Amino acid sequence: MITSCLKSNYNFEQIHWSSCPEVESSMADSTHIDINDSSTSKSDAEIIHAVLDGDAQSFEEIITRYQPRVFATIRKYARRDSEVEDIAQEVFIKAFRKLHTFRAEAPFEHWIMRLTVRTCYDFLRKHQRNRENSFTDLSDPEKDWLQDFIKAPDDDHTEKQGATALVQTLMEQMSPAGKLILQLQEIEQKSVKEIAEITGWSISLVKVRAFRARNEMRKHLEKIDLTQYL
Amino acid sequence: MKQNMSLEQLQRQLIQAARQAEQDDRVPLGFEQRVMKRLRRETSRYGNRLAVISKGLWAACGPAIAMAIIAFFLSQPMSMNREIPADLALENAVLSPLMAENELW
Repeated sequence: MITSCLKSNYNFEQIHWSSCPEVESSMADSTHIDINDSSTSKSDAEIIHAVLDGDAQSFEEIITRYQPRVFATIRKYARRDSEVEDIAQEVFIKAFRKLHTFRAEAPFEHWIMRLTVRTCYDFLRKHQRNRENSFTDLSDPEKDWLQDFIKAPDDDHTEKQGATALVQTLMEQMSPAGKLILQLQEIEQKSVKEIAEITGWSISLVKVRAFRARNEMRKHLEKIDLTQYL
Repeated sequence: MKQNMSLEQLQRQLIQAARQAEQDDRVPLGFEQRVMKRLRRETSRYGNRLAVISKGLWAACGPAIAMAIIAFFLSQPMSMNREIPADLALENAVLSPLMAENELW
């Protein structure tokens, strides 16, 4: 119903919702999504209501509010600044177009982060680069880190710059699904159920892909000739 | 065995390093304005397309109604011609029991 209302009134300058009482009621129920405690700034629900009510300019407030989190998430999957900005733009354009599908059953933040991760996955699938030979020309910090690691594998080397760079190199070699699972499960420590909700995959598919991702990661790590750093 | 141990340790340390890595949440200057500009451009294009389609549909409305009326009137004499003449209908009604009798087998 809301979709049809939006379609029939879809104009950036003037979106009218006067004939859509469903929107009024659905937005009235969404009071719990106020993530801003400040009484001076509008809540997410109020802004979304305003956007759906025809005030498209209010969407800028949504962008301002969520852009740091969206950019931080995208940078986990893409490295180049131009790519990161392209994906971020795509996320907010999609968010604007699909705003009427937001049911306010969970915080808006969850909804937009899910959209961000899915957009990143689409991007990874579209831009699968040649993922070979990446361990052959490691940077100096990466080589230094590997040397330190070989000398004392039991010590904690996690805070060094080389480790982060090596993780990036490893991630670049992973398949899109493997990279996504590795990031969500191993690094962000999300449960299978949470990953299924974020990605839209079934729980069994998440488990299968997680198993494959771990094998894939191991296979890539085996390519590093640790003996040369002895 | 030792190689496997090293790989496991390497994997553990790398994942731990990734967990500890700070999030880079920098936003390019004027990003929100660029998105709003793009939204405005795309939605106005969408709106224009809708306007062209609806204009075309309205323009086609008149000729379509005229064609429907003409088709209706043209179909009338043809349907009348198809009606069975009264004398033939009477003959059929009278002879139908006989015709049905012939078909009993």
